[in-house]
Amino acid sequence: MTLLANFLAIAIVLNIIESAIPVIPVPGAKLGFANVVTLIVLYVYTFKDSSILTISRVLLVSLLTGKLLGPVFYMSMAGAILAMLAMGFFKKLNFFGILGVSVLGSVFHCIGQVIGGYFVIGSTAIVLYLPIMLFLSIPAGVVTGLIAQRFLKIWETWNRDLQ
Amino acid sequence: MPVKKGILFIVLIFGLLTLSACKKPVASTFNFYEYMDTFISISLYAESESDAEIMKQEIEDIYSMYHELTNNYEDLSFGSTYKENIFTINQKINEDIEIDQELYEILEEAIRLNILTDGYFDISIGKMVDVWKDVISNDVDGYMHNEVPESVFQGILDDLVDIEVVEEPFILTETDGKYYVRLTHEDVKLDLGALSKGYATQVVYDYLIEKGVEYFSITAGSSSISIGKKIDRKTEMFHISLANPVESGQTYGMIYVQNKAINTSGNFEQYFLYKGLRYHHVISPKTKMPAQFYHTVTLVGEDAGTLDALSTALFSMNEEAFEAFITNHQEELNLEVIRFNYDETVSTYLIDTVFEEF
Amino acid sequence: MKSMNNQKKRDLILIGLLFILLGGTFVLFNMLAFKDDAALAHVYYGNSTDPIVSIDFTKQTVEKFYDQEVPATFTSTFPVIDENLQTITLLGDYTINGVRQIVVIQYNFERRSVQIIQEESPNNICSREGESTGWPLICLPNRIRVEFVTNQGDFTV
Repeated sequence: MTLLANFLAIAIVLNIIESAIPVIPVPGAKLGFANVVTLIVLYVYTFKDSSILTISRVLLVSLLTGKLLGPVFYMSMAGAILAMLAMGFFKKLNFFGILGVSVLGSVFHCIGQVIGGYFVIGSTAIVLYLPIMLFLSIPAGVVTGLIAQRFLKIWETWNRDLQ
Repeated sequence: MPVKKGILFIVLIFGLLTLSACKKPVASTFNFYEYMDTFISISLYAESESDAEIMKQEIEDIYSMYHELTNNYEDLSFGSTYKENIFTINQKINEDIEIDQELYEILEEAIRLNILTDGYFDISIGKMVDVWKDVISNDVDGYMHNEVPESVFQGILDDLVDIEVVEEPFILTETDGKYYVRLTHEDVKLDLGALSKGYATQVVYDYLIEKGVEYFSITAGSSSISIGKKIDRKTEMFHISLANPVESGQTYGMIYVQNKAINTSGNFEQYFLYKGLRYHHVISPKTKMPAQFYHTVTLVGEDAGTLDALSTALFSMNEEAFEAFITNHQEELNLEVIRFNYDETVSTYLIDTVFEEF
Repeated sequence: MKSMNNQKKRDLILIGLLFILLGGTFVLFNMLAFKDDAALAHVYYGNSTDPIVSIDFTKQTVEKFYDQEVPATFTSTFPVIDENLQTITLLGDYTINGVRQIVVIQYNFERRSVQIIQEESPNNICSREGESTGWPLICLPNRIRVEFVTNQGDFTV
């Protein structure tokens, strides 16, 4: 439990840090680095754990930054949920490795944000940002995946050592 | 070997120099804000910057002159070289007033157009137009685009009863190379607003053609455009979209044209509302009121001045008169029309211009 | 281990495919979208599908359609249009200490462009979008967006 709590803390911090990186051209969009923790917890624990963690993370971050129920909150939540569902699904499929799952998660995170943005702003104008956001989500997903992969390797050795 | 290299080098440099001297057409745009109460913008491709500069000056001189001569709300500017303008002429009834040739010629054109349109185009109804314009542009009560009270509307009708449409409102004479105009009745007030912009633009158009400029566009306000050919496009045609008068900001169609004048009259820019109808600023000399037959009438033709007057005249004609005019004059004037009707259908009377309805 | 290697292979193929697909879409999009001159720019606030202010680049006019609902603590009405500076000032939704902040939009008739030049939002991200001649400017934290209308025509009459 405490480990999960630690993971949550890390996720929150990551989220806040990445908020400081403006994703031009869409104000409010994020690259999804906080998904690293979602991904790791998905592989180390269960899908259920990962979901709870992710949703808690989004809620807590918006509470902390004072943006609860603001437009940014809806975009983050939509993105995070879609990413989570996608990653859970593809992991279960066992067709791709962690890198693939991460990239797919990143792509769906992006789509989720756009959907969330559509409901907030009420116009399809935000769809026009999809091409660039989708394109950027690939390297973001690769980086996230590599970090998670590295972490999992270390985790495995660490776990074995503990045994 | 070094000699050969040297020669090659020199040839290359020479080649580059001559190529760069090869004249690429220079694009220029001039904008004028102070003539005829409208925004005038001219884009053209000239042989060189200095050519463009000269043309800019000469074009400005043309607009400036017609602006001064046709000005109907203030006196000639201090130190002006012109004899009279419309404002000063309107102050003197039943007097032979000497005027400049250019003003005489535009007044002649006005008479010609009055005959051509059977009286639907009439520049002498300034007093009537004022009665309507005073209400439309009333800033204090904010009637523009809004509903007016019955008392105000009735007030307009009352004022109009006393104003006559004069049969022969002004007479032009010429003796010994001097030009004169005489207003025949105190209800006559000349207003060249529905002709001057197009007329001046046509002078500019003819000037550009004479100078050999092929690629250009002249816009005078948002309702009048004259164009040559379009550069950077294979077809060299201009794509001109038509503003939808009932859905603000939308367009309802596109025409593909070159070397033509285009003019639109409409009821969607300046108007007030009364019992659901738009009372706009195109006043019919036949009824003393703005007509309610169509929302917009767009004309494509040869002469911007003629189109300016015709779009005003046609706007006041009912369907029967409209169709009769087209039948009688379309061929001789090479005139094409696209009309946005009150029931939101579009009627077209085209010859060879392509119109695409959205 | 073999399954791991297979998965790794598939990962790489996936990434490669996505890169080409999304990259291609992105490049095409940039080439084709927003290449025409703008005729109008509409400023929208909140969820409204009707513009609050419209900028007409052809007629060179700016028109306001309705006033925003502002708290009584503000002495002026919004939006405020300044034709000399060519700016439109709206009240955004982003709050600092509970007070809503202004958003200033700059328009330019000659260049047919619009830019958000002043606003408060996390990292002032909206004002970093730059000067736009066609692509929409979206300021999510303030729920203000600017969308362009290109008629695909050279002129509108």
